[in-house]
Amino acid sequence: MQEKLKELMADLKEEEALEAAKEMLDNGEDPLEVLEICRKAVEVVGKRFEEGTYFIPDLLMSGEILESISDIVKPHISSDVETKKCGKVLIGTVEGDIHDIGKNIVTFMLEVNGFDVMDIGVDVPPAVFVEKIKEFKPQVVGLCGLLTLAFDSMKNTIEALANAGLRDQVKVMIGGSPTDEKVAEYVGADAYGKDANAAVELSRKWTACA
Amino acid sequence: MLIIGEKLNSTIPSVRKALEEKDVKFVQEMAVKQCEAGADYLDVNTAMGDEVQDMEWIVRTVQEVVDVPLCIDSTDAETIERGLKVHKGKAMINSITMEKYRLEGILPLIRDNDCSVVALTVDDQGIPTTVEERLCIAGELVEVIQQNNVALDDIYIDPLVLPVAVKTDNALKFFQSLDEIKERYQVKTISGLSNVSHSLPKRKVINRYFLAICMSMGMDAAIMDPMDAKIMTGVLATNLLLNQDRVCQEYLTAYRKDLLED
Repeated sequence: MQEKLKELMADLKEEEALEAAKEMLDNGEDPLEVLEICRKAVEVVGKRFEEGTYFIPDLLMSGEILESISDIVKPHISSDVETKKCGKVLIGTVEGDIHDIGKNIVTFMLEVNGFDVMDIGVDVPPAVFVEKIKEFKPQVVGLCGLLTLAFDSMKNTIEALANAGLRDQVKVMIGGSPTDEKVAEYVGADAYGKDANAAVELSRKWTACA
Repeated sequence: MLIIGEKLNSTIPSVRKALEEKDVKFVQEMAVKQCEAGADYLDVNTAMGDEVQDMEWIVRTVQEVVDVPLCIDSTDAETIERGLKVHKGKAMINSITMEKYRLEGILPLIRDNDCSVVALTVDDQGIPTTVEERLCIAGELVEVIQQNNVALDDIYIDPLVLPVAVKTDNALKFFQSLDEIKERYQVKTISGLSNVSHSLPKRKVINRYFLAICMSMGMDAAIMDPMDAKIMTGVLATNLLLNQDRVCQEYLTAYRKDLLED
């Protein structure tokens, strides 16, 4: 049954997946376990996306299925069991760059993996990163950029964090097609993530959230 | 609908190389082929090289062999100025936006030259998401361009389509924007074709149908590849269906020349 739900969800069969989830709950399956299976299914979706068999709308679809399954699972979760959030990640595309597709995918993958994510949008000036980090208090900050001019914006953003005394309180990861480990080093980030799954892995590591 | 040939763009590696090597033959052949395929304008972009110098060179080189006007494609005022200076006939500037840094440099150029202007609905806040925001920026653009001696007929607004893969109503919002902009401001409209299908497979299929819908909304110009027989067939068929082809002659002539591809 568990494999079936995972497969149906990974294949984006909404109605059948919902049926399977209902059946599991009716049979007394632990509702948190049902959610865990869904999370694993989303991982499969993410892999298929990376392999090029799935596309962005497929990611959105898996998100919608996850949402409808969560809706039927929630009433089964007793109030004392809290679905605790893994950790907080703040993400944005740096100043001068307006690309948001990759950033949105990372946000989505982090969210379905249990992170509390604040997406502060595109073309974000360093001062806004500083302000929002103070307000949201994330453990992880993601800087996105697809233009080479974004490298200097990333550098400026990380310097602004240092000047505001925030650099030691957060781990910084960067991503976007022209970036790599060398760029991460140049801009003073803690790591480079090559795709959304890498961003999830890094965030897990840094928030000690297995 | 005007067809603006997009193949002389320095983001295409072979064009970039031709610019670096000042390969006259390559550039002139590409220009001639696009015109033979039906381009009414040719877009020229040199952003990836020595932009200002290359612009002068490509304008001169292309105009040696074709009569169509060029669409000077740059965000840099100096490049546009250099292109306009050597251009014969009435050029099109591609493009201006409501972003302050772009406006300031380019406005004097459109004031002092007889040209048409492509204007994108972007301002310092970025690309808008709603129809209303697009209309609002379009209104500001029309006002400021008109104040600089350009007739309404020479203003081409591009309401910037965003990929449907990201949000499925993006194309629909774009169609509504096209319609409203024409209605409200009496200007022309224009678009590129490839952004709408970004991140999806078999993009050309989406681009073709997108163009047909745009044409049915009265779009006046498209920046596209005139050497793509399928999309050009799409243009002919759409014109026919919209009663823009007198007694089907363009369509049938193309058929007799074996240019139609189904």
